[in-house]
Amino acid sequence: MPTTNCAITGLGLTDVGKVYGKSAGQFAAEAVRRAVSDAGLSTGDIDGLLVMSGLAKGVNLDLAGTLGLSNLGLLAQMNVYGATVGAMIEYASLAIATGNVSVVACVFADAPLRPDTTGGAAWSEYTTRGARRGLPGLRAAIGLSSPTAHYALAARRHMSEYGTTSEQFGAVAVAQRQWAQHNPQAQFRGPISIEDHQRSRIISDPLHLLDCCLVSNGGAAIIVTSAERARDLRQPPAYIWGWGQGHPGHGWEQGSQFGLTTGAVQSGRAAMKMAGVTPADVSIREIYDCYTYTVLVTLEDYGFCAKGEAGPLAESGALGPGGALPTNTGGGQLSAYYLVGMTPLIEAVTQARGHGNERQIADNSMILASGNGGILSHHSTVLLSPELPAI
Amino acid sequence: MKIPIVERDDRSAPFFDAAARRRLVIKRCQNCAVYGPPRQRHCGRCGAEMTWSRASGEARLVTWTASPAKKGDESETRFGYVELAEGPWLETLLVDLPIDGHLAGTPMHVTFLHPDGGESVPAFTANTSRLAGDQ
Repeated sequence: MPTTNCAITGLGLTDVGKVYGKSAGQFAAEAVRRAVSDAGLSTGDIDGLLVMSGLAKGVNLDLAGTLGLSNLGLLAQMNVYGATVGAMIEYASLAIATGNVSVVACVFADAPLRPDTTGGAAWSEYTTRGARRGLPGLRAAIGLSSPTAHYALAARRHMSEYGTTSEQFGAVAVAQRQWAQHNPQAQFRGPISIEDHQRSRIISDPLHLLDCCLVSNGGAAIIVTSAERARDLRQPPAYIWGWGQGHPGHGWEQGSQFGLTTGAVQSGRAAMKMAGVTPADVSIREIYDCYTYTVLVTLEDYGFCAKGEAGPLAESGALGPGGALPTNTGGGQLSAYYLVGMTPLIEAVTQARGHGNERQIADNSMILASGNGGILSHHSTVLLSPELPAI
Repeated sequence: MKIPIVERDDRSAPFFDAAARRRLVIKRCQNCAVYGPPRQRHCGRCGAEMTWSRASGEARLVTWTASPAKKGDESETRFGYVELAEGPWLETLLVDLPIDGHLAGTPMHVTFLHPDGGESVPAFTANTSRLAGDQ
């Protein structure tokens, strides 16, 4: 299937991180207003709106009213967990290709942090609610209540099977912090070492604090239009070359691939087939990084290296500044900010525009952004380029 | 280690009744005889209702993690997935699992915890001498 010939033409990012006093809905409205302004459009031009809530909820269909939109031919609240942003771009592009709508805003916002709690505590409030009753209660009571515990089990399996080490996870954290130093929007920019990673406290063995993504308040929005319309707008278009989803539905039984492979296999294959490219053609990778481990397993699943070789690849310095496979060039969710799938996507668009300043990659001809959610159950891939796809 | 305190509900009553008698029960399809984890209600293959069935209690370690000890805990809490001899994976507490040296594939055996104020629950251990007397 050829691509739909659409582009991402507006970016809107609010202040992110420990930003208090605004609800998720307010962040969402601000992000959309910034995105339309960035594109050189006005909110009245929006005729499609796709919204996603985070932990704090509050981003819903009411946003249309908040923004005063009265011309919507497409409106939905979506949730594919961390894979949502890629799926939003897919559905926005398909809707635009039919001609029913022409300017679709996609937005995510969340506000779980409060001034008096740590990020981890803020998360726990949302993930460990509910009585310890029955079999679901047993699952929570033994410790399987946090995403970090699940990812620790996945990471441990990868280590057992392929010999991946904690220091190799640390190499991902170090490389992304190096990138974050050049991203003024990053929450954490101070350099870290492998030793710092190893000394950071254990959250769920084998995952240390510096293996885990941040918790952020804030909102991000993008504007999707036809390629034709994007050409005449204010910003350089990031043309959408391909997309894909993958929902592997890991069985919890003999033969399960949990921790070893992810939906990136299927979603990457689909996106690359649509774009007519191979992993060797991808010059920049923005990989969904809820944990350092996720970056490694996803790189393998996309085919950037063989199974089990992502750990040594990270250790070689290939992912960081000056490396052969620049990955998560804005610092990602580990060091910059955590806005679910918007974090990799926004950096992908920034690189496609050539607006990365000190962190800009010279060859931005093909950029991959990934989304992953539901404890490795859902995956999305988007391929972007500053060049128009050949149709 | 944190001892899990869990209340039963109607659906889980047979599981906890069995655990109190030091038996592990899982689900089995009435139609095609495949096993499933305790929470599964319908067979993934044929859709038939699954019923409780006793498991051997033999398993192998798939993967594990540990939560650091919190205030009041004597030690960290280890838990993970074991693959039962019948095929399904079970999420479980892991007891007497040494810090190092136990990797995927380690043979594990069911044991039972009988906490005050909560239902009996299964756990898995690599220590065969533990089987004589549960906690």
